Amino acid sequence: MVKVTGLTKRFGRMTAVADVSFTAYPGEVFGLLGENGAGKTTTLRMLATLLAPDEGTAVINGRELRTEPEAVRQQLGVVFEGGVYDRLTTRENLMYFGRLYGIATSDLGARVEELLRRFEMMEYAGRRAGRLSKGMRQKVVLARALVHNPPVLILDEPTSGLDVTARRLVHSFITEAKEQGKTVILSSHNMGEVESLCHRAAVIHRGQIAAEGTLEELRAQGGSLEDIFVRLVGDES
Amino acid sequence: MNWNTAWTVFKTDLVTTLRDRRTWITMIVVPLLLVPALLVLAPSTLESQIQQIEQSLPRVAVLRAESGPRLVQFLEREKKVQIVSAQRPTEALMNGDVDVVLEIPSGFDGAILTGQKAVVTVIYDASSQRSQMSQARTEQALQEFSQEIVAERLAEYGLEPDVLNPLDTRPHNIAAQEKVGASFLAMIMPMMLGVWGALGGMYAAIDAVAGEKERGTLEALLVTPPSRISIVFGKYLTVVLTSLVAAAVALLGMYVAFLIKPEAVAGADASQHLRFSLPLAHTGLILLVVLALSGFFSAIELMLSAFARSFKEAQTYLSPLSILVVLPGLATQFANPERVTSLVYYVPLVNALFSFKAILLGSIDWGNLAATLLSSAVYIGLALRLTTRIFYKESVIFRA
Repeated sequence: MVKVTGLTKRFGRMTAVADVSFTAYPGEVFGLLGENGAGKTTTLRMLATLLAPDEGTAVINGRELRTEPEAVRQQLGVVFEGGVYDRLTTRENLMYFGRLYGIATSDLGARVEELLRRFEMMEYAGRRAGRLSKGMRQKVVLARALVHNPPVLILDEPTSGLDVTARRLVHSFITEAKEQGKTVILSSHNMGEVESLCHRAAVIHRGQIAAEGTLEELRAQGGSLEDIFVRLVGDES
Repeated sequence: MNWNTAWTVFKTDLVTTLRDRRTWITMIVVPLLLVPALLVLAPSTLESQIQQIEQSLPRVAVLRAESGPRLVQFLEREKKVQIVSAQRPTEALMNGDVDVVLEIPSGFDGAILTGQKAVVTVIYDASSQRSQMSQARTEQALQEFSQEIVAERLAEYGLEPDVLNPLDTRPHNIAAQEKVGASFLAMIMPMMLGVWGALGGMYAAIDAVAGEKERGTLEALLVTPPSRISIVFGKYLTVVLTSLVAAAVALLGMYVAFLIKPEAVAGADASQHLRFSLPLAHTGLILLVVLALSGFFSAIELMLSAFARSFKEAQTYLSPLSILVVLPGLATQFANPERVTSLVYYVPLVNALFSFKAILLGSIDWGNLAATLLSSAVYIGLALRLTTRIFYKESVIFRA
């Protein structure tokens, strides 16, 4: 479970995230909807302990963000926009992160082989990641986030820039994680994605939560998720 | 600080660094080949030009040869110069057709015979190396003529020419042959070791942080449980090791250059006797000082790399370091490590340069060496602290 209370982050005079609170439960995908620059990534970076919040905190699977950052990181599988180690092979990429997550050497080999099989990456397990296609690389990123089998996943726009096939793969990855009882926090600016994957969602706008609830509750405000979204943030354009 | 993590990061960074062609070029190829190439080839081409000039006789045109037939005869007989005829000697000199023009004044022979002093003008072109060298050789030939006349004049008084040389000098060098060679080595080696020891890991440092930022892997690395100190330390070890290898390879490059052409490395006088024999203990001490030097610079390089947003930006930040290293390297080239104030052994980089020198000369002052190593340890500690602190600064690490 992830319980976020009053998270606030300022960069100089600009408040990027203001008093954000929400709770995400095991076995659910919690959506964080918002336009680019709304504060989604900053919020997730705070949850991942990359940025220190100015106010507020979060408890992630029983670990407190500010006082136990290293324990919090152990609970998390994180996918941010970003790459893999091009000069390492697919297998080496996973082995490296397995070691960083402190997986015992005796278990690591088997764990990595299991992930390689599950993500159908055996074929290019020994190939350097720099020579992989974008979809293949994203598979490595996802497998990497799962190497220590974390109870909580934080996914920051995991499908951006991917083609249809790769996007489907990410979606099935998310569904599978949910079915395994993991807590998944997914940020996206894609309504369709949130509608098809999430049980509950929060709309974040200018660093603040503009609406939060189950998709039904949100829809009850009238129209499709997109209509609501446009109504909430629409004054921008 | 978790040593396991540092070791994991170190091993992986080393692998990724070694799998990059650019590392091999900066760590192995350049120090191994560039240094010997500069030492062997650059002087060789100059030397071969000089040899070419030396092998041929200076071409001398004589103005008013009829005034000094005896001198002309002497020059032709001794074959130290080649007398050539030229229609317009000065013009020929300017065109490079002759090397020197000799102007004999009228009444020259008469003056010689009557025991007077005569003046011969040696016209040359200072803008031509060939003419300049020929001028010196022509004057030497004229000096020999002058001595012949002196001997004749003394004989008239029944005296031996040696009466004019009451004193003879005999140089006797007491420096051990190794030391003569070493002094030459001590002039060029510290700079080589300084450059590669300080900057050999530059590329690895850029790749390890700015490179990871650019490729988007740094964020993924920093969300893993280990503390940033452990991660930084692992990266730091990679940079230090790369510098050490580059310095060791530069040392090897010097050895190769010495095998190919001893006089290029050790100087013409010493090379006949010199074996390139640094005692093993001294090599160990040199590597220890390289370690102290690269330990400091690696931390600085990592810090600058962390500041940069991209690989390119990091290169911009780090390249001025080369000037920072080369300038003191040049400035201390001729300084004697035994004659400088002990304070220099507390100045980063300069202490290493002087220590290299002292070790190569075999005149190690243990106090100064200890000052170098201990002060370096303090500087390394400070630099590493600062570098780790940078890694905790959000505004630096997530600079977009």
